[in-house]
Amino acid sequence: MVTQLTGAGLLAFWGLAMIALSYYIYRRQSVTDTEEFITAGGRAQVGLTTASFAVTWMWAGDILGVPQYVGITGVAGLWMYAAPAVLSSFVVIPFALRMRKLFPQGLTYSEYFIERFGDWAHLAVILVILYTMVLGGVIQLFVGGTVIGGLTGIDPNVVMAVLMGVIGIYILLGGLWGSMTTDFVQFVSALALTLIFVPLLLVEAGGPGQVYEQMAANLGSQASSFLSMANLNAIEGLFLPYALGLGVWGVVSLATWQRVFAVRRDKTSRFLTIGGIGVFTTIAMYSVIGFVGLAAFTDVAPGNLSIEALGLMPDWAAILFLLVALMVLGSSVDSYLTAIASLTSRDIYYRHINKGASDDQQLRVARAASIGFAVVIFAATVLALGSISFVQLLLIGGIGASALVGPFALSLFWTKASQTGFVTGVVVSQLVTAFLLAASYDVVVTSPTLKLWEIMAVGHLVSTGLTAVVSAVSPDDFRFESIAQESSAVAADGGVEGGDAE
Amino acid sequence: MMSQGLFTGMIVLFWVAEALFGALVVYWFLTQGFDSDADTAAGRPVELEDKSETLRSLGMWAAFFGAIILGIVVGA
Repeated sequence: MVTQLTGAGLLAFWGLAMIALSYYIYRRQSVTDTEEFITAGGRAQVGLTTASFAVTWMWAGDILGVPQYVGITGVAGLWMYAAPAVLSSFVVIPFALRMRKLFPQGLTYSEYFIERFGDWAHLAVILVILYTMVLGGVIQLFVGGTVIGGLTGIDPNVVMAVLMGVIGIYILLGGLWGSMTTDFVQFVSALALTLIFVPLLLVEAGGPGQVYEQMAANLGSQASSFLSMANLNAIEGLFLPYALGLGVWGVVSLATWQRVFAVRRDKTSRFLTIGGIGVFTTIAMYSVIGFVGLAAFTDVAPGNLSIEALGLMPDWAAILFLLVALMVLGSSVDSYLTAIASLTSRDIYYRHINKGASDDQQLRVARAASIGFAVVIFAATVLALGSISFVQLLLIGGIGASALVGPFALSLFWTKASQTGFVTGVVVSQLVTAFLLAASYDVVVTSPTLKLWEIMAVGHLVSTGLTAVVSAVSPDDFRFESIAQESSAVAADGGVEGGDAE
Repeated sequence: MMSQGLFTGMIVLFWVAEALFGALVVYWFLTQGFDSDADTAAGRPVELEDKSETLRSLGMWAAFFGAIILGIVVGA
């Protein structure tokens, strides 16, 4: 256990360092207009963007989630967690290439839906993205409160308030540039610390050989299944809901799209590929926490495995671990907060409330939103902390993706996809999955009771099927060239030469 | 059930892979910096990536998923 004073000192050190870095980048990159704030001008290099993308996907939740998966199903929990987590990076590639061909001037990907369909489709998309991004922030902050509070003895609510306050301030200053630059530092720190921390934890537990033998002894008759990569006993409860929800979450996540629009157009698939595969290796490293937990304890619930295993470490190693947690947590929450600020400023304020808003006005709204939603995420996390388990929260977080991915794909590649079909598919899918989810957790209704992966599958089928059927009955005849910019000279910043950023 | 040697080798493999990944990204950042200021100043157009770049990325993904399946089979 780290003392409260040391924990408070770590939080203060991290907060000051991140705010100072964001202030530096605010001055260096002149973050004084909306395009710089939201897309980093569309000219970020592949190293910066890959680091930012990767560390955004290295969720603080992984620190709790991977050991919990290992505690439930053994070594197979490693790939059941990590493979779907990086699947998003693969699935998003065709979407990203098509979008950057059709819509290189986009600031937020959701604005594409206005050009493709109209206001109603845009509003439906905004709603889904907004709650998905807030839920993403809640998941991260939940872990911050649980892990940092648990290891330092500081009240989790105080930890969460400090974390959200610091992140809100540095996004207020630097926007996406601030997010990506702090992400880069957080990326390097998290990787370096993990590379040191994991061997230290193994040494503390007696080395990998000792961990293996102790795991086999503690697990007894379960050892053969828990030490098999092909243990598929928990595939329905762990792998499938993750693959069908968070496995395609990247397509919906505005944080992903901000980085897609920020990187140079000729590096699009490269940063998604290296970033995605790299994330797998980091997530896989967290499984060692679960292995050590299984080797050291015989009667700890999987959900508590992380905290118990980390409690075995000496204070200085725990401090090292807390720094890793702060880095991966900050990088993800700041990305979601920047995304929400962009959504509020561009998609809600500029597109629907004040279409004549000046750049200054949009920037002010984006900055106000970054603080406002920091408060919303904090309040939602305080509510969630006492009422839901982490894995439940994590898996439910992917539900929004089931409504959008199929209709989005149809809109990009099928000229007959219509606004009526799109809105019907998205809205009905969300209503159906919300009902099924409520029934499964006995909220208001008690039947039918479906497994989470079945609810996700129903969501995908309803959204894609309805969009296709309704569009076939009431087709559009969309001309992609009406928004395509391929024939125009595209400037290095991704925009059209001489064109407006709008 | 995987052997002790395989278990240890798996952890070592992840450690090496993560170190290589971090080194590559840091190398990119050190050699390229924050943004393409020179291209922006010159106003040169940046085209979408060509098909060979996309195919190279997809090849890496195929190798990655192949390695996972191989790991599951070998570690069964």
